[in-house]
Amino acid sequence: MSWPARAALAFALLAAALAGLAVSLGAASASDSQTTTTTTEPPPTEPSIPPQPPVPAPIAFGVTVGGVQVGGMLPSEATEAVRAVYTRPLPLVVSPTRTIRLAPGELGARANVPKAIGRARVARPGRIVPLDVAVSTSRIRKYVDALARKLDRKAVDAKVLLRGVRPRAVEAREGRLVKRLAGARAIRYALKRNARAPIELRYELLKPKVESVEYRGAVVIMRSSNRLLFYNRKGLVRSFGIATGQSSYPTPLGDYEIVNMQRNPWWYPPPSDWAADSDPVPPGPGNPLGTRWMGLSAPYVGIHGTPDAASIGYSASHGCIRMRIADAEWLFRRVEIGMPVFIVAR
Amino acid sequence: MISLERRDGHPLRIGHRGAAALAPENTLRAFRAAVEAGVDLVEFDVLDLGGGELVVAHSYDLREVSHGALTGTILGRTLDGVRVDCPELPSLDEALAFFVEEAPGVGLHLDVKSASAVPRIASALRALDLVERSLATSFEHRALRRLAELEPGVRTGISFPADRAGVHGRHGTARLVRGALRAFRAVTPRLVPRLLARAGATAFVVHHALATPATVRTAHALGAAVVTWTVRDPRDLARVDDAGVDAIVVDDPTIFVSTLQT
Repeated sequence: MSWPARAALAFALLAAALAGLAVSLGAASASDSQTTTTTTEPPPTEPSIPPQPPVPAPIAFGVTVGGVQVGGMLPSEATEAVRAVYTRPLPLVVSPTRTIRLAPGELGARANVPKAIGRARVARPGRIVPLDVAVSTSRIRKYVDALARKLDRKAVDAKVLLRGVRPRAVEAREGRLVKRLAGARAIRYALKRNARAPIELRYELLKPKVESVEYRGAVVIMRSSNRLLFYNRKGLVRSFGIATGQSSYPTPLGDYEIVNMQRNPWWYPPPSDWAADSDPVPPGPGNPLGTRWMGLSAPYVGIHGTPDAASIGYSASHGCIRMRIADAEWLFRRVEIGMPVFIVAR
Repeated sequence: MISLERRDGHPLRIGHRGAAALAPENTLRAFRAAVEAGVDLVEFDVLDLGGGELVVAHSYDLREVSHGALTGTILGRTLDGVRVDCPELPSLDEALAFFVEEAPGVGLHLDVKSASAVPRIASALRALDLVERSLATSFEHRALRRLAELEPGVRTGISFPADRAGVHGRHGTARLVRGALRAFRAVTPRLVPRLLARAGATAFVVHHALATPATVRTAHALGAAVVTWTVRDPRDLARVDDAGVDAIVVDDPTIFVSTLQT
């Protein structure tokens, strides 16, 4: 038997003797009188001196439980001290400006404090008593997974986007992916060790595929309004009335770019039933493409001049975007291959 | 050229400085509020800052441009400089882009405050293909003549009466103004032919107190539409509607629904 335990026993016996309980305690159980801290009713048979509960022995000097100094504390005080330290939230740093405070209980961790205190009561001075913390690895993983879904960001490629009908250049942005396994492991390890030092969540950085675009302008085609808007870096420069595809040959909606520019183009019949019986038309006054052709990345669709100015303002073409001859020439001077062309429904 | 005549027996609805009762006047926010309220045209003021930059503002008074936040003047300042105080102040280009991008079915009513702005207004309207959707009005007949020379497709209207002394809206002048308008009311029909001819205008843009049936008859006989400003009282609205005006400028476009059920 170790020294503190022996001392405790001697202390308890002395206390019992002083209270004069030798007779009355014969019926009552010894454990009852040892743990109770409230004064019990004096037994009616012995009205002399009320019984005094034994004072529990303090834990030996220098003992720690789960890293908490409990030396010299009574077991009840030690339990409270260990609980207080254990229930402190675990700070998880997700970004330089944001820290989440995790409650160990919510992550499914459970500390066996009574067991650790039991060991501390009989520990020699200076002993390090570990605190057993049961953790649920799957619950921590699940938590980190859910958190990561909120924190993960896709990489954004630099590109030209529409806001309403207005194009604007969007800069590239790095994406990030939470290192889930490492995060879950760090949390689990901290809980196991009863450590509450901030844990930094780590990320894998995702590089955008397109780092930058040079925005020099864009063409926006409003299909149902039959308008073509030309933008440069500063903003809207000009707006034109155009003809777009009739309902049976609608101009396709979407994001395209100019892939082909020709002055005084030949017209070749596209592989479509309306052009089945047509022959190629050389450049000249009757050419259906007028004097300029700006082909889009949409197949067989382009912006071109038209000798049929009366169709401007209507959905009359076979899918192409018709402009007045002079307007098409103006636009041709300002667009370039690779310039974005947005076709929107409005 | 934009049609200003009544449609299906109803006058056209014009939002004053956007919709001055619904949002800060002469801002894109006010334009949006007007378009949402279903106006046929949006009225706004075009001012030359002095250095050639055109903005949508009623006067050089910074108190007015900043919607009461500051005092001073914007004359001679740059657009970027004024924007520090009034971040919502639209340039003319931005205002016109709004009508192309966001409100393709709505007409423009440009109130030309600076005659020096006319050439740039003409070229801007042409570039954005807004000529056929625009009415330009002014108190300055020379500005309207110049605009018609540069861009004959824009419809023009002469505004009357000009408040040259700036008494309107000033404290304690309400009775004076009312008295003057009453005196003007009788003579206005006789002035209409000369005012229209001098400006070469095809619209007569008149204060609602002077929009009498006689004035409307005279203008219509000359082939001019009558636009009246700025109606705030439902009784005035009913009166000018009865007088037969073609278009009504209002601060709050919802007044049409509550008063005329249009």
